[in-house]
Formats: sequence, C-alpha cells, structure tokens
Amino acid sequence: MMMDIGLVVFGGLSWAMATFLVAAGLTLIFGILHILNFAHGGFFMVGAYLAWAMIEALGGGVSIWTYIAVALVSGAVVGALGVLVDVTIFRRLRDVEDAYALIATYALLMVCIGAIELIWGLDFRAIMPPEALNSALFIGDLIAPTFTIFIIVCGVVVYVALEVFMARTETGKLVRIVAHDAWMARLLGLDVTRIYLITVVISFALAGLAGGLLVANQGLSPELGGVFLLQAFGVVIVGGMGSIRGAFLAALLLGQIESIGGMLFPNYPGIFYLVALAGLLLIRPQGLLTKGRTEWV
Amino acid sequence: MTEPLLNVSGLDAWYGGSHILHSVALNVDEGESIALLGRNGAGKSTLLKALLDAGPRSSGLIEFGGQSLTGMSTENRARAGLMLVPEDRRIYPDITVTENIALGRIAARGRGASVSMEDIWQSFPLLEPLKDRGGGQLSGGQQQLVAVARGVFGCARLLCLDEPVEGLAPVVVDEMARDIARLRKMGLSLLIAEQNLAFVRACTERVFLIDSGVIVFSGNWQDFDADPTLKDRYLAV
Ligand SMILES: Nc1ncnc2c1ncn2[C@@H]1O[C@H](COP(=O)(O)OP(=O)(O)OP(=O)(O)O)[C@@H](O)[C@H]1O
Ligand SMILES: [Mg+2]
Repeated sequence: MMMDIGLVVFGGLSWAMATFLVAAGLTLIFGILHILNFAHGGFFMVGAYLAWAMIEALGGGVSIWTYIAVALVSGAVVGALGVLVDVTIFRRLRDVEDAYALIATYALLMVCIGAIELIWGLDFRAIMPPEALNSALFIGDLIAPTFTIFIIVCGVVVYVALEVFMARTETGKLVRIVAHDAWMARLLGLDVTRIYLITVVISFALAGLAGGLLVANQGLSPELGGVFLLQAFGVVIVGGMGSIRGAFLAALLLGQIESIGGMLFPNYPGIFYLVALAGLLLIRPQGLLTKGRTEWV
Repeated sequence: MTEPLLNVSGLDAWYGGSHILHSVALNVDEGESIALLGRNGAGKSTLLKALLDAGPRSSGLIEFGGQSLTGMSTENRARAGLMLVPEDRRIYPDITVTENIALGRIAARGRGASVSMEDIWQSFPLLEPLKDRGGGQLSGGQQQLVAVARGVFGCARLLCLDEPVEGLAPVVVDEMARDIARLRKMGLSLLIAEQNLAFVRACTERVFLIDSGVIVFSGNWQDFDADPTLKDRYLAV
C-alpha cells in the first residue's frame, strides 16, 4: 500500500507539471489580453517538432544540457512567431467581440497543424530522453524515471520564474497594471501595445519551451497538441482564468485526482479527470483563484 | 499674443450611433484654471475623454502646446503632458499609494521630471501618512486625492479633473480646494469638470458651460453671475 501511495503521488506530480508547462502560457495570455488562445496547443506542437528536428540534426542522442538548450531555442523561435501573430492577428482582435477571437485562434491552430503536416509529414516520430535522464531512481519501493523527475523540476522552475517575474520585475509590475486596468494605464502614458506584445511573446515562448521539454516523453504526431490543450484548458479553468498561481495549484490537484482515477479504474484513462473537472466547476465555477478585473470603458 | 495651451474647435463626438458632442470649442491658456460646468449627462466626461481619444469616437481640431493631436494615441497624448483624472478614480488596489502615484511618472518619460515625491507630499499633506497603504484600502476621498496626485506626478502640463469632489464629505472638498490652490501656485494648468459650484468657483477663473453636448456659455465668473438664468436653465436638476 505504501508503494501505491508513492506511485499515485508521483504519477500525479508528473501529470501536473507536464500539464502546467502547457497551461502557463495559456493562462498568462488569457489573464492579460483576455484572449482564449486555441492555437496554444498548435505552437506547443511546433516547439516539439522543432526540438525533434534539432535533436535529429545533432545525431540523436544528446546530453541533458543540449536537450535543455534545444528546448530553449524552440522557446525562442516560437516566441518570435508570437511577435508575428500579435502584430498580424491579436492586435486586430482587441476591439471586436470575443467570438472573433475564438474563431481566429482556432483557425491559427489549424494553420499550425497544417504547417507541421506539410513540413514534417504525418509519420509518427519518437525520440529518446537524453542518456542522463534515461534511467530511474529507486525511492523505497517506488521506481521514479529520471526524465519524469526532470519534467517535475522544470514545471516548478517555470512556475517560480513566472512568479518572480510578475512580482519582482518592473516589466512584470506593468504587466499586472495592464491586466487590471488597461484603460487607466494608457491615460498614465503606458505603452499598452508593447506590454501586450511582451505578454504574447512570453506566452508563445512558454508553449515552445514546453514542446521542447516534453518532446522526449511522447510519440510525436500532429494531434498531440490537442490532448495537452484539453488538459491545460481544464487546469486554466479550475485555477481561475488568468491566474498563474491558480493554474499551478489546479494542476497539482487535478494531477492527483487523475492519478488516483488511473489507479482505481485503469481501464478508463482520463475519465476521472473529466468528472473531477465538472465537479470542481460545480463547487467553484469562478475557479480556485480569481482576480479582480476592470474592463475597457 | 501667445498660443493657448489647449485649443479645441469643431469637436464632435459619438458613442456608437449617438451623437454626443456638437461642434465644441474650448481653450485653456498656460497657467490658467478652467471650469467645465454642466448637469448630469451634459457631456463633460465625453469631452474630457475625447481630448485623450480614450472612449468616444471624435472628429475636429484638438491642439495641445501648438501641436495637433489628430491621430495621436492616448498614451502619447498623456506623454505630451495632457493628463486625465477620470471620474471613477481607478486607483490600482494591489499596489501602495506611493506606487500608484509613481505610475504617473510613466507619462513624464522623456520630458524631464519637474515634480518630486516631496512636492507631492507637500501639496497633498493628507496623503503622506498613507504612503505605504494599499490602494485598495483607501476611502473614496483618499482615492480621489491619490488620483489627482498621480496626475500631478506625471508632470501634467494640463491636468483634466473629472468631478474631483463628487460624493466627497465637505471637509475633504475643502482639503481638495486647498491642494488645488497649492498646485496652481506651482504653475499647473487645470480643466475641471464639476457640478459643485462653490468648490469650482474657488479653484478656477473662467467657465465653460455645456448642455446636451453644446457649449452654451463661456466667460469669466462675473459674466456667469451676471446672467442668473444660466444656473436655472442649465444646472438646476
Ligand atoms: N460609454 C458610453 N456609451 C454610450 N453612451 C454614453 C457612454 N458614456 C456616456 N454616454 C452618453 O453620453 C452622454 C454624455 O455623458 P457624459 O458621461 O459625458 O456626461 P457628464 O456630463 O459627464 O455627466 P455626469 O455628470 O453624470 O458624469 C449621456 O447622454 C450618456 O448617456
Ligand atoms: Mg461625467
């Protein structure tokens, strides 16, 4: 029984941090720009394929540091795509109804999937984790794959980095100001358009980074983005739309629930997550953590 | 003759399909303090927001410091020194009073800061003890003082106040009047939309009266008082 508890907790943490890596950028962009970005999963995929292509080009088996560097480059490239998307699409969505944003970002998701199929084809791809992460730690009776531990550490690092950025840096403070009341921020001379651009770039870079970090765990196919997006949306909604801390807590909570469900009903993967999602939203429809927000006049 | 600091003419403004302002003309000279009077719904806030392109759609001439503002963004108008303190104050609740006031300085970027935080505490003595208080823990009157101080700290060349004493207790109204008198000594120009005649009379030297989006009177307070029907027709509830 001891082993079971350890396994459940570890499995839950693994699910939680993998999902949080995807959810972080999604909740950020929603919290600041109030755009629900369906394309997030698409850019996560672009990051994963980019990382796969770079690792293949480097001859396959890379060291852990190269693996991390590749993920950071994926993040940077996808972040740069964020500039393009903000200037050409998101900027036009600011003064129109929300429905347009849904359609536009959904279309962008289709574009991402189409581009991936065009460039990399439909074949199923897979990549091994780096040598150093291809073993397991034995903690009591628990067998913990080091790659999974790596992903958990990455999730925590990304969370802490985002918290520090928002709370301690000047730009982070301005991002919070704009998220709370963009109209007043403009009256105070703040270049809100620039703050939005920075936010979009960070969000996209997080999507690309998540793709690069998680690539070794997965069989890579153009549909993979959708799976992660569904989990990430659940985490963003339960956490309270736009709250990074909320998404982190929700990921931890839903991860444990998903893990317990997987243990009790191994034949119905994912069902427990959806039931828990529905249940949590019935109890707290506004999400775990919600933020005050003032709308444009 | 020197150019006015703010020169507005033929200004029309719309909210969606409704035409709110009709060919408004208004001017403020450097160092002047002007009252904008009008009853509820007359168009005072619409006019102030139109100056900053921060709400209604508008057309017409707005010149500030000799420069046309046509096509200029809200933030660049603020950076040019045209600052609006909106009627709902909009203090950021999660940061302190000092941090809220410091935000005003963004607007002064590139223009050289002439107002120090020390000047602010001297002009608004009620605020100094509240320095470290969170923006969300202020009374309405305190919020209003912070909102005005924030505009001043942005080194406004023209500070537009939208009903700065609406709903405030008489002692706070008196305090605001004293604070504004101190700001005027510093040479600040003001455009104050108000319905509180006693307050605004003490703070300004000229009057524009607006009704249904049309300027129906402009002149000094003597001229305003000389025609008692103005008050009955345009200000009585
Ligand atoms: N956001 C808006 N959308 C549509 N109409 C508006 C909007 N804001 C104001 N109006 C209309 O414009 C007209 C002028 O309103 P405005 O707020 O400028 O008046 P005001 O003089 O500031 O009044 P008050 O003293 O009540 O603040 C009113 O008829 C009002 O209904
Ligand atoms: Mg008003």
